[in-house]
Amino acid sequence: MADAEMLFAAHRDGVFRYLSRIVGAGEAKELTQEVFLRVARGPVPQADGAGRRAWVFTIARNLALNHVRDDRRRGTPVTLEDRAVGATQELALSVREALAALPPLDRDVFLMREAGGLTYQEISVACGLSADAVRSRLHRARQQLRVALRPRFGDQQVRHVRWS
Amino acid sequence: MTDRTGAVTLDPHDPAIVVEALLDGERVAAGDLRAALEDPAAREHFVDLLVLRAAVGVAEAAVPSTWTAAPRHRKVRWLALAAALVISLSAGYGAGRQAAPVPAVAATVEAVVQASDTPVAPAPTRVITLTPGVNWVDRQEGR
Repeated sequence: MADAEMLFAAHRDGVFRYLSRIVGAGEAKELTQEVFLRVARGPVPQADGAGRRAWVFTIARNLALNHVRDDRRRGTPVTLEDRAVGATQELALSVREALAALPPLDRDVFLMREAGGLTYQEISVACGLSADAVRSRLHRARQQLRVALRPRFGDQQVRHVRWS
Repeated sequence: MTDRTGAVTLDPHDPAIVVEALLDGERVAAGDLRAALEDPAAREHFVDLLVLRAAVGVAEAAVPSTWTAAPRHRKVRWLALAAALVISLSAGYGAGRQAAPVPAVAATVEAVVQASDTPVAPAPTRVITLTPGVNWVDRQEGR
């Protein structure tokens, strides 16, 4: 149980951020808790920190895939709203649409890197890919997102960047 | 070369791949990095990646500040809480019965006056002499 608690404390936020990009923030919280319930049931693999993080995100990815598949079968209702939104919300909406348009595996690799903060090696374990395949898919996802979001970049809505 | 799903894998020494790896905190060969930074397209790609990362960050959902148990496990939590309460009350009662009464210790206050710290009374500015029968009357009532 101590291992599961440590994994929860260490990776809860990264898992939530990853899942929220796939299923939305509303569903992501419950799904995140489901991830760590499964972690608690274990057994936690005998691996280093990176190996355990990859294992946690493998669980998260599988749950996300199941959730999306179940949503498609159910036909999730969508609420249409007609209201003015700010520039930031427009950008956020554009990002979400662009992410949804990515091939699922490319999107998973991209989100594990950007939202989850996983290394290439961890992503390769979580997604069952080689490290070179992770690099390639990440590159492809970024290229596609750049093309989709270039009009937003052209509007100069993102003026400042930071490399950390 | 293709991965297990059939997608083409790119050359890891490609300048665009190298700057991405640098941005992602991965190890890159110094020679590859030098070549990539000398490539105008790779430099442009690097800036675009930072802009993309900032844009993706804008769409990020806020992490919940509190995490509560899922509803289907609430019953288990209440049972566990009740059990812990009963156990702690029983343990406290048992410990109280076993413990010997502690004798009360009279509180004492001790004032220690350092001679060197004793302030010196100021010199009198007026002297009043009281003489019995003259300007001093002793009354029985205590006044």
